[in-house]
Amino acid sequence: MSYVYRFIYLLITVFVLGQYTFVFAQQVEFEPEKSVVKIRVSNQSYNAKNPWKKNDFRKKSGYGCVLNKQTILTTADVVANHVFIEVEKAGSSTKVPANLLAVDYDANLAVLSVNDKEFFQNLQPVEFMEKLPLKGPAEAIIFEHSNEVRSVPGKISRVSVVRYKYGWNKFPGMEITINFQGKGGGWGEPVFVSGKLLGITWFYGKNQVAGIIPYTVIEHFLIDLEDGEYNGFVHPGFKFWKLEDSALRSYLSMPSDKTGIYITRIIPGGSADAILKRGDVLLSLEGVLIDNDGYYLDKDFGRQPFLLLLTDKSPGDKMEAEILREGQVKKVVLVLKRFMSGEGLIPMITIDKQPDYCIEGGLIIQELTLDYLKSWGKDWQKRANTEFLFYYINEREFPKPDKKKLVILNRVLPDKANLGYQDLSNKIIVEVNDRPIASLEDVPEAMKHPVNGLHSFRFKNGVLLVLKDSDLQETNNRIKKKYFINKLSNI
Amino acid sequence: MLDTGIFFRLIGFIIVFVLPGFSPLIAQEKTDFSIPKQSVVKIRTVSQRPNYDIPWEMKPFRTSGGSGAIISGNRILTNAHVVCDARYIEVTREGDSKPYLGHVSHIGNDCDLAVVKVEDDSFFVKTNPLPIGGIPELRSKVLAYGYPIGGKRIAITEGVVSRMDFQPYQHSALDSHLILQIDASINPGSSGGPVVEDGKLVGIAFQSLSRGENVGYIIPTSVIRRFLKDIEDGRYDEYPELGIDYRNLFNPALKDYFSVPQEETGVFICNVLKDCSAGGVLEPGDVLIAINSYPVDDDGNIIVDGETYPLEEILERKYVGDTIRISFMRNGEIAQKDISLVSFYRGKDYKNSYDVRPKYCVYAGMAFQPLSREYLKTWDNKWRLNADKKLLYYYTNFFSSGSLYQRKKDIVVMFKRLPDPINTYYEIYDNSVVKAVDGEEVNSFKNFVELLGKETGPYKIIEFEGSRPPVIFRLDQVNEADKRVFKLYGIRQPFYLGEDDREVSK
Repeated sequence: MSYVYRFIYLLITVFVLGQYTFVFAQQVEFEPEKSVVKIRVSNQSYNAKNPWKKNDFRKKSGYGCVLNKQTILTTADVVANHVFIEVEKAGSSTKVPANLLAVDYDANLAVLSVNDKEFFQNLQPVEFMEKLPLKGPAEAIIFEHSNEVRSVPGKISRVSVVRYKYGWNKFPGMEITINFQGKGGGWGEPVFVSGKLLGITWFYGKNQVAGIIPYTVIEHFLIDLEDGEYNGFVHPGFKFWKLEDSALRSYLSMPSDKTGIYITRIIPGGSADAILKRGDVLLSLEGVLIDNDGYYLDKDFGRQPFLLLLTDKSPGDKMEAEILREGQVKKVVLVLKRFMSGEGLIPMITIDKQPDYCIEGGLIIQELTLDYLKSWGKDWQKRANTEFLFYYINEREFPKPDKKKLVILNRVLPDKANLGYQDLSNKIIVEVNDRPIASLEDVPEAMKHPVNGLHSFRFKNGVLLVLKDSDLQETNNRIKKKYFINKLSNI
Repeated sequence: MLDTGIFFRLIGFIIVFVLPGFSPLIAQEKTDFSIPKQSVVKIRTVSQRPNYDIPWEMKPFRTSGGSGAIISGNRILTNAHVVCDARYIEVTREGDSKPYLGHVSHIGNDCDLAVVKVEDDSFFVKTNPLPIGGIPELRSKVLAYGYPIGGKRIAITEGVVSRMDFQPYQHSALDSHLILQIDASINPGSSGGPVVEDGKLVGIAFQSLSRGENVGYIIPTSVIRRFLKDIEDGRYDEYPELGIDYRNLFNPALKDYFSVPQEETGVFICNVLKDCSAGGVLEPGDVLIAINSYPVDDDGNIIVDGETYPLEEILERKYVGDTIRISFMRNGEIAQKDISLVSFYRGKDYKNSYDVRPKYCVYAGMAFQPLSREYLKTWDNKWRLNADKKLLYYYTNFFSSGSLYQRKKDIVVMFKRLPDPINTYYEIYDNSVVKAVDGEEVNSFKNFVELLGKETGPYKIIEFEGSRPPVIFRLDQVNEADKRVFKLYGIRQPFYLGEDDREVSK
């Protein structure tokens, strides 16, 4: 929906409801205090190592923009793992509870609603820009201690394709240089150009650079939400490599006037499954030529990664692709699909969710997730289990029918029933009762079929662990009581 | 004993070396220790290690000091780590500064022992060979002789034997043998020095605990005697290896699973290495119940002469070529079999290696070598954390069951690119693992180099594990590129495949 329609819609709403201060559409003076709110969140995540437990709760605050329909936009990061959300208006210390209406952690966007309709009195929705600027000044709106609005000047520095805070999906990203003067940032501060929303910040790092989710992504997200069913953004469904080497190009029989990228791996069930294959060269998408580095020439933004071509697409959309396969140029059609970062072999996003687990005879069995890897601490990329890291680095996006998730033995809660096994931890479970384990649901299913009254758990390195079926129930109850575990399974 | 499970044991040991350049201090003598003193020698070694980062070159040489004990037959017993990779060895007697030229007669890197000989027999005049004693009792007093840092003359330290244990020998990193712990600190330079009780050698000082104070480790005479016997035939054959991973049978449910009567004890086998002694005899899932008629307990221990040892102790007392008898249970049936013992030649790359030149191959400016502990160590001393995770995975999982070990002899790593126009765009391939060449799967380094040399078509196609596209070279460009690269980077030999590629035949 273009800005104009959006605005007409807003005007109609304003007229019909009649309870708002009338706003002149044409020459609105920029009044950020009317469209920016502060969000305070108490959040509590689950403990990946002790999946029946929650971590200590923490507090976070961020910013939101008022949208039409009396909703508030912020980053998903601000409300991640929320237990309680409150919003405050500029110039007031009144806190009003808010609810999470919709969230997409890959796109790092969330929409909140407020039950107290009076909250929106004197507030007005933000206006979006109509064209992404390449450079120029911008201002971020933040609240001072007394909730007075302050404008922080910044400068647009760059447009690119980035991964927002969570997951592996890539989105358009803008960067501005801005100085929040030690206050920190990246918590959804809205950034305006001439009073219109450029985007909201999701990142603030060294060198005073703030990452911005541009309004284009926000609009895509909001429009998608309108019918009440969220479909999300699309993922190309393949991995690729640059195609710079001339020997490789000549081996692939690439005509010298063609450019493209080498397709290395296809995500099962993704946009390119059964359409592309390893060794194909992707030459163009919807007629837009892709160069050997994977870039194309955007009419507005210059040379950009080809992934930018996919960001305004929705699941189900089709995209014509030209490929080179076995020396022949072919046309294929990709049917675009969403691929959330929670869906891979190793889920990257497990926010707001209790980890799936089951505890049998003191064995804590769960699926390997990014959160679990992070339980190794700050240096987890070095210190975590080598085998887990190997899978994380090489296979995390690639679930297979016989290995949808990595089911692992976290560790053993010591009990007399598991004598001799208590040193085992962080092992990949291959079979339970001689049945292959492709995901955690397979474990309780396999546990229904003990062999000769015994449950066997086989690990990847030949190690085996056996429990007696006859006293398993009793053991489980004992462990539940002894270790204060509120429930023994969450699947 | 090769113990793949100790890869990540966190105890930090320091190997005891000394670099010259300390201000001299005169050792003060209180008691007459003259007889053993005449049997202690100072060893100065100039050594040179290969550089696994640039395997066609050597690292700069370094000088280090250690100690040694004169034993029968005009031999000097010292640590392997004192004389490994030696280019020049000099020995001196206490009270006589005349240096004598020495050379390594035999070296056992798996037990950190070496025998050094001196060409000039006059060196041994007025020296007393130390008789080799037994294993001292716990709490008995012993004297450690040697030339630790802090002075030029001999130092004698008194210590009490506090512990006897099976522990890793840090020199090879993966071998564990019996160790004696004494409460005398063993400082750099003491290495190789005799530890004496009642005028007899009861151990060789060799390593200490980096975190502990006054904790010294000595090699007991059981290990020393074994080494000396092994080399009697003129060759060191190393320790034989069973080549099994096993786990305890404490849990009654596990015994039921393996149909082992509850009163019976043993361990169950998780993994068998095919080229090791137990290969072809034991299988994963077998329950080992006795070894040479010693019953194996549920944790893998045996009792020999009233002492409890891990079952590997049997091998500690055996030599390559000997036979042991094992009893095991398979599918509820008891079986007995004789195992002829072999050493584990294929485990070499997974230990620290000494006195070998690294294998490598340079092709079109891409440098390859087989994955080894030495290569991983090129990261830094925290290589277990910092080295390439993919390589660490291959390294730590190489021997696991159902793994690469059964299929491959070597993991071939593309470890470095020597920039040349032919490989400009292959920069980010560093530390990729080679999967196939020209469509043929690579299973050893030798096989890889052979495949590189074959001319099968206009291209050389090197495929890697993981998702990267193959590296392609046009054969008509490779020769030219090789010439440029070898000249530019000073490579005299395009590849080195090792001196012996001996197969272990059983």
